[in-house]
Amino acid sequence: MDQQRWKKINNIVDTALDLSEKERESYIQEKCKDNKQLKREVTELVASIEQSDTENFLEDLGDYTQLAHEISRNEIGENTSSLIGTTIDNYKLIELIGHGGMGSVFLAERADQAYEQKVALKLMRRGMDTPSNIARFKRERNILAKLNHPNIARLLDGGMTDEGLPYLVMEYVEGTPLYNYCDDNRLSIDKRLELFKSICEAVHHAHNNAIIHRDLKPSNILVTPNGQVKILDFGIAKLLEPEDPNTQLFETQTGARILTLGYAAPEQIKKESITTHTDIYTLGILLYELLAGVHPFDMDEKSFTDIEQLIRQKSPDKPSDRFQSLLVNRKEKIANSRNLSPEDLAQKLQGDLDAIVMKALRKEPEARYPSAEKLLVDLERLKKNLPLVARKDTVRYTIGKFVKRHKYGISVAAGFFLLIIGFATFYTLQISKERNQAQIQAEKAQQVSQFILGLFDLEAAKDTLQVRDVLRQGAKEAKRLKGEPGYANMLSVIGQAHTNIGDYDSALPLLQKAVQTSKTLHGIQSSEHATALNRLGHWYVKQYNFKKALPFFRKAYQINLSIHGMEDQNTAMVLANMASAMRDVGKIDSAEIYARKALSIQQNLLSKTHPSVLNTMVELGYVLRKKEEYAKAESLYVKAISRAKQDSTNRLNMLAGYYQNLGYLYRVQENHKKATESYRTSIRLIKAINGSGHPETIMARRNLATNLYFQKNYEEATKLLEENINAARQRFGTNHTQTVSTINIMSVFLMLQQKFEKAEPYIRESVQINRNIRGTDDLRTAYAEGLLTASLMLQDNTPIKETDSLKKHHYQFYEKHSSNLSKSTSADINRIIRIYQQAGVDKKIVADYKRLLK
Amino acid sequence: MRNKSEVTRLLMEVKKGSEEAYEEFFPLVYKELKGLACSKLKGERNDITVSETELVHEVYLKMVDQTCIEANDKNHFLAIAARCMRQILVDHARKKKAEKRGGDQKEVTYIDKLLKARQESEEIINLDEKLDELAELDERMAEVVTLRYFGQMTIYQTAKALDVSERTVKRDWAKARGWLYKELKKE
Repeated sequence: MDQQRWKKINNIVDTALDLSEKERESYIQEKCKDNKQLKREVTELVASIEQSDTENFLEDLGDYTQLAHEISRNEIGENTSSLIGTTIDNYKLIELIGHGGMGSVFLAERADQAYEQKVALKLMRRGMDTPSNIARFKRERNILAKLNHPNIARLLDGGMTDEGLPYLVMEYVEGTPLYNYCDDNRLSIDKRLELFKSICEAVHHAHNNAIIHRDLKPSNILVTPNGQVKILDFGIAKLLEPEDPNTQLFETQTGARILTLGYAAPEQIKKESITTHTDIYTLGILLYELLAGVHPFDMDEKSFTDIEQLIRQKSPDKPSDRFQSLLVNRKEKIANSRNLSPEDLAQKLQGDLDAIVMKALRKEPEARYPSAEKLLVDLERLKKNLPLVARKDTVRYTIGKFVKRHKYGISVAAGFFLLIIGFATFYTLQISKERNQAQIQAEKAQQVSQFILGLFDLEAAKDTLQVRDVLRQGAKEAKRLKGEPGYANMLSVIGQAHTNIGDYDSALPLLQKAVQTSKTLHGIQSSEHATALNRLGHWYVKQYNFKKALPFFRKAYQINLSIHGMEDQNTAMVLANMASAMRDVGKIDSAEIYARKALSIQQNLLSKTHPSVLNTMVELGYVLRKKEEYAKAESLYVKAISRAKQDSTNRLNMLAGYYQNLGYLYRVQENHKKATESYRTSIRLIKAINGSGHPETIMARRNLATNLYFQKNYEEATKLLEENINAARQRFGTNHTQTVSTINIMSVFLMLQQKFEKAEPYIRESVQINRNIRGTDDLRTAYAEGLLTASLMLQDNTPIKETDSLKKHHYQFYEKHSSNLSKSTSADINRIIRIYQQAGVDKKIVADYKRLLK
Repeated sequence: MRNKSEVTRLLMEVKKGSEEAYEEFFPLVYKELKGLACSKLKGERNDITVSETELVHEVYLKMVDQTCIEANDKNHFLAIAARCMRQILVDHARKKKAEKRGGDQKEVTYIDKLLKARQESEEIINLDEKLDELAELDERMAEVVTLRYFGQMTIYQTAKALDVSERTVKRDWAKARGWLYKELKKE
């Protein structure tokens, strides 16, 4: 191709990529007219561009290990503690006192002992790597150093370590976090207000110096033993923000989620500009909690997205109302720590205090108190019983808000479920009626889909054939939803359900389509897209194609990290998936890091018997088993099994999987008796849930058979393998990869017992099926031919002519690919070698095969 | 190695477009990167805990005086390092292929591990050749792939190094990837 021609193609492709699928076709037609070759080349390139994107072509492993490295560095590592005793410039590090997203905080003292002073030294995790960043850091630091107020912990010094890591030295405050101090001392409302006023004064002082805190939160506010308030980290958040939002300075490490969501203002979440009003909002939250003892928003068991939505849109209940709505016990506890009865507390909050808090908490920055000083003024007027600024606009505000409030639509849940069983039209109507509610619906749909997936996982799946029909019907109906918000999720749910029932062939196109659709409908940075990617990755894991699965998980991880943060269920689940893929591509250490991180997040957020916790425990066990840390692996498996049994809502197929893992752990330790026991338990469970022909049931039988073979129980093993062949044939038909693999296994099994005549018919059928479904020139066909060659050569009456041509054909094919053998092909060849070695004949053939492996 | 300020001065020249400086600079970075990669294997397990990105960053800190350069200069350095990395990996893959024919298995090196983490040697040689072909048609596109794939540079860094918009990089990356996919997978 010459440059000119390329330019032509390139131009057409450029425009075509911006068009929708439909427009694209007519555009290409118009541009290419009758030039068939041009049209073909353009279409081909566009298709390859899409395909290469879907397959994550040229995405590689490098950054997975990098990521693991970063995550492990994020944990409190030896790195940090090993710094204790060392000196940074003039400061000697004495003790690690804190560890956060940005870095570690040490108690330190002046090493030159110019004067004795304990200081807090905050060491950042990432270096400043350009002169302009360094300069800005210094500039900001100088501004902050000028901030001098009794209620603000002073910034004393700062600089760069020899490694180029920035550090800050601050006044060391020995004190108790604000809320603890108030509750421990049972401070009255008035005393609390006094403390709050000194916070306001400090904030006001900073604002006057054009410094915004940006990250006010109770843990940043300490009270010293003599009752003085000290605010920590004033302005630090800004100081450490990279100038250029695109530099990777902090972004990759912490997921940029430095702020604490509960104390973030709506404009922070919307990533709009941050002003002094932002601090006012946070003051409002602090006051709310100081008074009512509860956060304005109910954030329990809510996802990041839900919480963000709350902060952006929902006007909080008044402190008095929110307090009243709490459970009696909790009310008593809160009131008691304020030295009041619940009734008295509620009454004290009602009216003026409610109004002040609500004014500070307005969604629109300009509707809040214009300054901390004005907030102070209202608090003073309250003390003197004067009318407040805050009460003027309350009524109008409330009505306006009421009109704006979202009318939550009818249960999407119901619509969604009905759709699956065929009532697509109903749902479509609901959706188009409430298009603007798309976001909320999508989130609800997410929950419903979990529920639906649960169903297909469970009892229903016993009769998989019928379920499969229902799903196919569902997929057909779903087409009517094309372009609607729920469409992408619908596809991926149905795809995942197909995966769950082991119908992998039908699953793939749906899952791929879901990835594409979620991207066009919801954008790349959407949880819908992340979910679709994760499910597609999961499909590849089920195919044991871990290398392919990884990029999908990574993409999902990055999306989840940026919208939910690290400490989140979705993020953790993808991390756990990455662990499973990493260990299978041989990156055990990274896998361990992923699994441990996922587990620690999940254990923080979920119950002890939650399936995600248990699954990750088993995953970690698997990784440790691979590291030959058998005792640790066993204890994790056993723990997961016993916890799974405690919770009757847990699915039995999970338990079955755990027993599979346990069985394998015993097998590698050559404890075949215990292994067989575990496998038997597993099969009993799996068969009951999945039915006889499910790929996982087939795998379970094969594992048990292998173990029985080690125990020399050939008879039962043969029976199991025969059962596998029949079940696969019934479920998938004869000409199917699943079926042919069960037949292969049977023939290898027989040949290892020197039963070559008995193996021959099996392996002949395998060769036939392979040729039917894969063609003659295929690595799997070559394997079957290799097996057939062996079974013929090792029989007493070898049909020489046939054997020779078979041998020649498959060997040459292998040879052609020998420079680049995959793991599974090498395993195939090794199996063939073992058959010959077991039979103890023909050293030359063994040597030939071995040469392929070199 | 030459002293930092000298290397930094060279980088400035390269940035200005001096081919002479480039000729001088490239082998310096190549040697430094390769030397570091070779010394990395000691004490490692079968996991790569140091990725190319860190490798390159380490070389950068070692070679360049950061107090007298601008933010964007680092991206230019990264771009050169990416080309070096491509060269190192492809050279190594070729050598390995030759050794394989000779049947002589040498000890595994760190570069082997980097190579394995991406693709098998055969694939990387093919990719290298196709990249050259692509460069004939569209030089910038091939450059984007070298920086993104071999240098693990982000879209932003690539855009800065090549002095084009991020949108252009994204578009080039998508098209180049599609073209390479078509060429490499059709066989």
